[in-house]
Amino acid sequence: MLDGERKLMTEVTLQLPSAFRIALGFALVVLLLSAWSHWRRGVPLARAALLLSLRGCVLLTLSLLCGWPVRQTETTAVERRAVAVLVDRSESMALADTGPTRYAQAHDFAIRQLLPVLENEGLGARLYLFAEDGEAVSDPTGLDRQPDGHRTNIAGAVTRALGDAATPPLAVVALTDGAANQTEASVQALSAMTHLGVPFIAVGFGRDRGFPTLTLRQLDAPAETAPGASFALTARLEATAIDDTVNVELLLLRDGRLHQSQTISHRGARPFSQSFRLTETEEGEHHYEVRLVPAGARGLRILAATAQVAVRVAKQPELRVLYVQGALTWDYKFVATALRADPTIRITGLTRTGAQSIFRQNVESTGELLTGFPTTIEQLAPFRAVVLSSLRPGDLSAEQQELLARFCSELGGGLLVMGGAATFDSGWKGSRLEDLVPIVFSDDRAVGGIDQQFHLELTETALRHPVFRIGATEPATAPLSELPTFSHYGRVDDAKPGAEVWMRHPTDKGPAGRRVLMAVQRYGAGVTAALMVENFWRWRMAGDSDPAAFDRFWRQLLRHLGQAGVADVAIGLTDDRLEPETEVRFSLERRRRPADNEAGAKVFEARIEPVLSAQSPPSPVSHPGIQGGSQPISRSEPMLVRQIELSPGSPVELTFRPERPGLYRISVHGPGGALAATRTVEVKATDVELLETARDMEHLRQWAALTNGIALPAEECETGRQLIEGLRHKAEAAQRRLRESRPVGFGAWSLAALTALLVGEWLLRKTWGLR
Amino acid sequence: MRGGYGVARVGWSLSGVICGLALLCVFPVFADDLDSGLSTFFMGRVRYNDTDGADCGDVGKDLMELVSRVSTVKVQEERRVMLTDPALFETPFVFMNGHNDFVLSDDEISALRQYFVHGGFMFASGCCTNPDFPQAWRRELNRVLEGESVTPLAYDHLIYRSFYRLERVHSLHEDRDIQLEGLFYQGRLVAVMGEDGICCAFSEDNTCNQGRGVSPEDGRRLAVNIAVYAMTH
Repeated sequence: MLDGERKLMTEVTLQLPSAFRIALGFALVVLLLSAWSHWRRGVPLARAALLLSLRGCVLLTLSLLCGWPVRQTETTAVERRAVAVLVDRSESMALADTGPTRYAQAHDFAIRQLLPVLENEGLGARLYLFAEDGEAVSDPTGLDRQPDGHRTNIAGAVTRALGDAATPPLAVVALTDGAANQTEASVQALSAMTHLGVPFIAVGFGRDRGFPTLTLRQLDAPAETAPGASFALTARLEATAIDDTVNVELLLLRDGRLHQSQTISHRGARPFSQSFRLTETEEGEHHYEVRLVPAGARGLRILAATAQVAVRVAKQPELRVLYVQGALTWDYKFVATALRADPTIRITGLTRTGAQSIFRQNVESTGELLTGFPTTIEQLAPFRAVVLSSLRPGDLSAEQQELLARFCSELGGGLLVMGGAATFDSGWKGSRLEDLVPIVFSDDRAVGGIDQQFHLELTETALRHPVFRIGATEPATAPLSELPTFSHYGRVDDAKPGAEVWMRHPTDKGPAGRRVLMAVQRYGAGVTAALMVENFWRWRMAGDSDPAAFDRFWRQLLRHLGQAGVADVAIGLTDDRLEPETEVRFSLERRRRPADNEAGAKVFEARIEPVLSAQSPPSPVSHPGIQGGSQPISRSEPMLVRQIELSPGSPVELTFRPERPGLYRISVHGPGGALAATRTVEVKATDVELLETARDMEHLRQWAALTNGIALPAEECETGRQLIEGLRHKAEAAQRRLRESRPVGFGAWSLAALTALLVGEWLLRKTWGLR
Repeated sequence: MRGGYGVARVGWSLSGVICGLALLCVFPVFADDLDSGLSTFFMGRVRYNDTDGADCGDVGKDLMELVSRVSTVKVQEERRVMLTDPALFETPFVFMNGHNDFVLSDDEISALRQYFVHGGFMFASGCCTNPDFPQAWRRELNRVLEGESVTPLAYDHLIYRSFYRLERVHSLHEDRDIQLEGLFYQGRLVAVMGEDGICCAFSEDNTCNQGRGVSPEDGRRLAVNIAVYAMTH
């Protein structure tokens, strides 16, 4: 029983009365049979009565337990005479929808309506102001504050109000716009209110449609690119409540100088992106910053106007691809043609041209692959990706399949299997290779169908993936609309759970929806993919297509497959929103290499240093040319230098606390100082409070429903009396409740008693010589 | 009796029609595209000028059969295409042969250029060692790719080793070695021509060539090498 509670009644009831009756009936039958047995054997009446009573006690106890007895206690709270009033002073309450600000309206309501009514009713008021946390206010004058809180933490304020006094409040009344953005403690707060019988009464201020905002969330770019290679720098933006079309200008600064600009028009509330296409010819590192400049958009609030990223231009590590064909098809020719423009990707071909003959192409030593597909991990290790084209598991030995599994899972190699109906059939089921591929095969030997011409349908996941950014100009996915039709494909049942589906058939349906034509998944440290479209080379041959787009797709796909595990150490970020003066958590995981003969730990050095820190808000834009702006600074003192032991497969988590917004580089150096991995992250302060400015009555109604409270829009709650009447009724109902039922009879004492009765009967029988 | 006989005839006719329709459904005749999952080697036969692409009529089939005999490659029928026909881009390999001079129109030149850029390959052969076709072919293909012209392929080129190892191919009627000629695009061989009646050699056993040109065995080997090279480079 909690403080302030009074017990009303306690009773024991059976949850399963029918089970009790059945068990009791059975017990009676057993007793009757026992009595008859005793009479037949001439047992003296007294002894028989004693034995039967012992047995009867056991059977009665068991019958009661079968009925599942529980003790239920009803309580009610001692009379509560105080109401907790929470007034939201977060930044969103400073908005003026029509007339006074939301905070002014809430303040006015509290002072003129709510508090006087509470006083007339003989109810005390405990006042709290809340934003990111709750703050008790001793008297109403303490409500005269500026609404400038950085967060809205309703749950925290509720928890504070519930726990402040020995007696919980009669109810919690919240005057807020409901746009909570700090919700970690919501479950605990709701649970506490339910448990204590404290209803949540909310008055929502503001309008249901928020203010138009535009936020430049982040800038995406490859961490590293090759000299002469075109790459995209994509600005991710988010818009809310933009009813009219707004024009904004995006300025791209390269190392502090204006490099490109674009004007975009946007309308509506959704995330969107805009890309810049760049090519760097010299090796080095460059800092890119995008600035968002509204062009006369009235009432539009820019919550974050800049984003930045660092890109390193360096010769790409060479990538070797092993392309294995079960038969001589056109695919290898076109894939090899696609790779000609990138000298850092070298493809070696292995084709079965006859029952006993193989055709090797582009081998790098005389004896390489002389006996066909590799049979040892050392033969496979020089390659970063393997393509199996028109090949089925039966074409490889069990050892070779296991080798491929190790190649992917341990060495981080990439695998692509491709082909058509003749390749993807149930012959894969039960094979080792089946585990690697991201698709589920049918149980039918050959899933057939009528092959008609169709257009490939790329999923949203694919369209957002860098592999499919294949256009020379923006939009980079435009060439995908020029794909030719295909007609032959392998039919699989589905993609595996966790796999990404990149292509689907537009109409043909399998057991799990439209047929998957391409899927990708992580497998251990590597990536595996499956492409079920036959004669994919037709994309390049098609008269309307752009061969360069096809070529770019294959280069990017193979790099994606081959570089997933190329770094010795992977740097992972735990949080997706990085803000100054908060802990940034990241993990380091070391990948296994074939040269790692021992699985022991190696010592690496992790360093974190600022690449750029924002000195001040960006200067006003005046272009052509930008006056001032952020400049990359030379390395300052690192914020963190730590020696850590890393073992393959055992990640280590580290944290750092950036004091200011800006770019920070996390780098990991191996023994001898060689760079093992690097990653830059942007820390930026975003005004979270103004991201969502619409009144959230739905959120308030959810809280009210769970606690048997009320949530009213402010315009429907003109007087405090109306609110208090509802409050009293809800509070009384919430406080009269049943405590959780507890089972009785299931415990050590019951067991001991039963044992004693049974032992007692047994001893008496033994003493009296009865069986 | 007479009426019964008429009914039976109608019945048999209807059955025939139904069976025919059923067969059509099971074995589609009008396969319009060459994108077949069952075959990997299919060939376009170029129709140009006044020819129907029919010189040495069965040479296409013979070439495909050659390839299938020596490899795992399955073959399909050839298809006659004009250079301006969109169907040209359905086949990555075309064969062109003839006896006489010819001129390609600007549209045909443009289509051929696009064909090569997209990855297509042409194998051409002058029939019966008649010099007119090879001369015309060199002249016309020199118009296709700016900055590129037809050049002889030395014996160290991979095409002579792509399947069979051919150290030398000697002419039957002259004391010289036969050399293939090729056109390159950005370093990639996109067209090959043999002027010494290669098609006559591997298709007609040189009967139409009257013992000139190359031997049937050399002709078959060259043809296979060219086809395999086209599929692998």
